[in-house]
Amino acid sequence: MKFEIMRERLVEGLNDVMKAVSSKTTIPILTGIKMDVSAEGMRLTGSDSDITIQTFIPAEEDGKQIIRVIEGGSIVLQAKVFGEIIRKLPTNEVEIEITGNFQTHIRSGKSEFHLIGLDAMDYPQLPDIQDDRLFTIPADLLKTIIRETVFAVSSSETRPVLTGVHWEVKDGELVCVATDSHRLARRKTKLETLPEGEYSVVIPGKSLTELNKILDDNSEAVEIVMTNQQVLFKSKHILFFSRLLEGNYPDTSRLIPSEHKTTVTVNGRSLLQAIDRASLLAREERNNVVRFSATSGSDVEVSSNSPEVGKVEEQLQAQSIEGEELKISFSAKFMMDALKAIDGQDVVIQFTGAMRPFILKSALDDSILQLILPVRTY
Amino acid sequence: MQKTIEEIQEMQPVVMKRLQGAYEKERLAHAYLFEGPAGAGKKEITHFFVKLLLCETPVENVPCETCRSCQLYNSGNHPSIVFIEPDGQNIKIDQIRELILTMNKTGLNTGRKIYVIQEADRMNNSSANALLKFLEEPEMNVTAILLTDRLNAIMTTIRSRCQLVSFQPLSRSKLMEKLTTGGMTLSMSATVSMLTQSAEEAIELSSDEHFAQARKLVLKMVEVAGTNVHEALLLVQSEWLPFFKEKEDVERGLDMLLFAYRDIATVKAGLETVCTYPDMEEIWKQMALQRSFSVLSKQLQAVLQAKQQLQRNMNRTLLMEQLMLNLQEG
Repeated sequence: MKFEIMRERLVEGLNDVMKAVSSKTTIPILTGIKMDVSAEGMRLTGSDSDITIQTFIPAEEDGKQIIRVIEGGSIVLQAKVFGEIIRKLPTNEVEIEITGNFQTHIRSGKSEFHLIGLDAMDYPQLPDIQDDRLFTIPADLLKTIIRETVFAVSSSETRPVLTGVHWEVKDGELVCVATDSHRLARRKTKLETLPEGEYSVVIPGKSLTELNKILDDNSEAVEIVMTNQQVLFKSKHILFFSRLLEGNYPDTSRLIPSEHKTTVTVNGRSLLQAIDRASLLAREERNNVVRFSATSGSDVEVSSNSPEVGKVEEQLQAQSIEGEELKISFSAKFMMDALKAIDGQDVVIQFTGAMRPFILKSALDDSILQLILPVRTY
Repeated sequence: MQKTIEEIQEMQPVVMKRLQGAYEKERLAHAYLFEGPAGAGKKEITHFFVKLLLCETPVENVPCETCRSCQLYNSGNHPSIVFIEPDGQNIKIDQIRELILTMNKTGLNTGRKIYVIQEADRMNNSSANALLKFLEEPEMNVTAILLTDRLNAIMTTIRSRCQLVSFQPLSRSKLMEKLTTGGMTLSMSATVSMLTQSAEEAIELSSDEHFAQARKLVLKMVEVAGTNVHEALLLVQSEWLPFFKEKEDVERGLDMLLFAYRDIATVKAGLETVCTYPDMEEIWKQMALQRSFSVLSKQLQAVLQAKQQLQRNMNRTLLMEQLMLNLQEG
């Protein structure tokens, strides 16, 4: 194979796929980047076997020629070395030629590199993607969904399936749930384009975090295709594949209490700050637990007491308090994560007693729900 | 060196038949524990079996070697298989955790996923316990293969969750026959065939200059240790310690010493088996006359004890000196 390419575009493409390449992989070929060149353009693939990123550089764009393909073909080149070489080449035109035995010549200006490539046949094949399970979400909304759920995944490997976020498409809605069995985050999103049928996948939390880094914060549509083996996120030029987690995700719908005894509406940001302050002392104790009480009038009280360090109490004006009086303790970290996910809006907190899980919602809409289990302190 | 199917078949006919039978009838267990002495062909059979399980178009229960899957496996790039081996002394818990996480993800390719744990006896307690749950309740289409030389060092809880596949030790006379027809002297083939089961390793050892010297030194040691304790201690200082430096070397040295005493005991008992050092047979006979069985048994014990203490990282000088003194007694 032989072609010429604009260096800038190649660097851009490499930067994207390099994000997926990991140095500590057990499969030797995955330390490389795969290049497939055809008359239409060049496809770059990088993978660490959990996630795979593919990007396409068209041969022509807006009437300008980016790649001049002399002969098509495929090769795998060591990602790190290749990336560095391309970045440091002297001129903007790069010529790459593969001769027999995967010998690769990279020429630019007066410099010539000689790299030893690997057989592209050894590179794992990506699954064929059928379009029947396809739906689209704007990129910025997708980023929001990830941000609002992924923090709640479990970090312990005792139940591997909980290290992922459960994505379920049902009744025209996308429901994303993450839980580590002490707290739960759920986000519902109405979909415009509906795929047929109901189905669900569990996407590893790490993959979603990576995806979040790669996506641009704009309203361009991202196509999402779910298969049994992998999930694919497809934006303009980038294809992001992730492996899925196997196993059945527990049924979480029954965990969410439907009735409640106490309802508190409060400004999210000020509650977040109050909890943050209270956790300053609680943090010293091993479990970071703060107490929350709604007993009198229109104020709620956030307090924390660590006998060896000191104590803190703070009154907070609530918009409304309805129902029974309540004293409850919970993890400050979980509460802060949940409030951050709801992001500054007014928050409705619904309690069903001091020993029962409680839920947080935005006062404005129903799409996001956070559930936290309280801590027994006395 | 890649062994052909016929060679493996010849090495372990029973195991091969069993595994191929299970594959043919689609009655595969979710976990196998391959157990048998070093060199009995565990690795070769593992490679064969894994390739067979992954092969797209197997022919008569033998991998085709031409499909994409076989080629990926041969180049070490098959994404559906994970190999775990000890990282340093042990298989660490983090390795097991990572393994479980990767195994719980859907494969890049559809189909079976396999993990192979080499030297499974080197899992420490926490690693073994971490693996237990996963071993017991695998997700669909996951196959585990555990390899070990020392079955007794495997936790019983692990053992009971695996199908045990025992590899028979190769018969020593067969191996010796093969080696001598390959041009090796009888005495050398007798010695190396005690130390290893695999023909390649045996040939490698016999052509190793260091090993030949080690053999000489050990024999000298046995003769001296029997007669003069002072000379024996001197020999330890002047020759043994500078010669056997690494832990593995010392272990092999002690093994060879052990076989020498075993020879003496065999000669005394009048057994017909081939000695480890047939060239020394006359001297053994003499030594056998001078010792009673109980003395020999004590001397064997002493060497075994030294071997144990070597595992506990005892000071080598003290270890050898103690051994020399122990060999005098009785």
